[in-house]
Amino acid sequence: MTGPDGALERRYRRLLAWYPRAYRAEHEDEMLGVLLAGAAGRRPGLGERADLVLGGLRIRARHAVRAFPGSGVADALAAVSLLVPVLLLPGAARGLHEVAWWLRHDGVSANFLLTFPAAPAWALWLVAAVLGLLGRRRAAAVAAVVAAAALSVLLTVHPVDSLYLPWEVAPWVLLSLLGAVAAVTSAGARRGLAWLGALRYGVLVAASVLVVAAQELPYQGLAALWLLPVAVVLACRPATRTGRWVLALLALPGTAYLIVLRDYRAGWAGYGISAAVAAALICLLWTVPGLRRTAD
Amino acid sequence: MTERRLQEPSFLILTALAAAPLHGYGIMAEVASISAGRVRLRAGTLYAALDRLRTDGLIEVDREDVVDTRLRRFYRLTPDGAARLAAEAELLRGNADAAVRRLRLAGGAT
Repeated sequence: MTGPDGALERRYRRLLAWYPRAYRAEHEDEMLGVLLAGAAGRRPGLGERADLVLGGLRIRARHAVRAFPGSGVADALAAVSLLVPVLLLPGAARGLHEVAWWLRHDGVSANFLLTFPAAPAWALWLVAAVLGLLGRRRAAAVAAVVAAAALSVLLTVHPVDSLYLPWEVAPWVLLSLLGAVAAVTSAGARRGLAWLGALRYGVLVAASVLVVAAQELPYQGLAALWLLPVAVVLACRPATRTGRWVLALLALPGTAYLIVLRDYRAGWAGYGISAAVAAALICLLWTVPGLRRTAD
Repeated sequence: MTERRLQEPSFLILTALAAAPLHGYGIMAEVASISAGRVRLRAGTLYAALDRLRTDGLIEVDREDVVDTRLRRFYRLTPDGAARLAAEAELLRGNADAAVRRLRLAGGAT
């Protein structure tokens, strides 16, 4: 097909490439018919593009999860989408103390943005968390994707961010990207909360807040090093297969977190070491006999 | 374990299919009509929901037509889908009735 209709069809086909190959083989022609019938212009709008991309990612994730029937991956992804905004809080601690300093010494001022340029991205994660808890899964997923992209760019690319050294941001960038993937591919934070329980969620929120508050106390590094990982392991029901999946998913940013806290001079190698340790942990979880078949 | 509640798009899609099988664009139009224009499904949302509803056994393919060289696939409710829709509608009716009764008790509605 040539002309405007042909160009529009090609644009839609490119967007449908986000769907799994097997799904496209069955539904591409059908979906193209629906898309072209409802097309309002010569180009898909931004909302329609986002909807197709998110739809494709959701179906990809669902089909991937289906490959592990009864494995608990679906609940684990939902739990991760709930937990990531909470676990990101300590990453914003330095910035939050910067804001507090400006408020104490300069009153209400936007000056803190000069040294805390990533503030809007952290704030957007808070929005994503609230939307998730309210059950607005799609809005929360969009907020999480934008927040993760913004945080990754602002923390790693921003040349004058004086609060973080480039390699220090590894855990927060990795956690943020994991959170965005979980928010897009899972049934949402409400389902995660149903699995985790309000009490355990409350414990993790309290642990994160304590780590932030401890930034101005002596030995804060030690408190942060132990408090948060221990709270995560205990609260995430490690005796269940879903809990083990949650811990496996959090292993990559978690390892980066421990490396940075122990020795921030690990530098860029920290990313590689984190990936290797996390991959080893996931392989171990994968190969434990009966793990994938154990009842929750 | 209790069954998860249907999200609104899924509820409206099942409602749209309750009377007769429909193809994708027909479902979108019917959902907009049922919700008085409040819910307008985009294709990505629609097909993600159809994929989940098929996996859960609540809908199935009824037939396929080719119109202007383009495939049209019609979907219909399964007996499980009809039962699930009826249960969800009953639950919503119960909640709505309770809300109206309590508002009347409080004098908040006439």
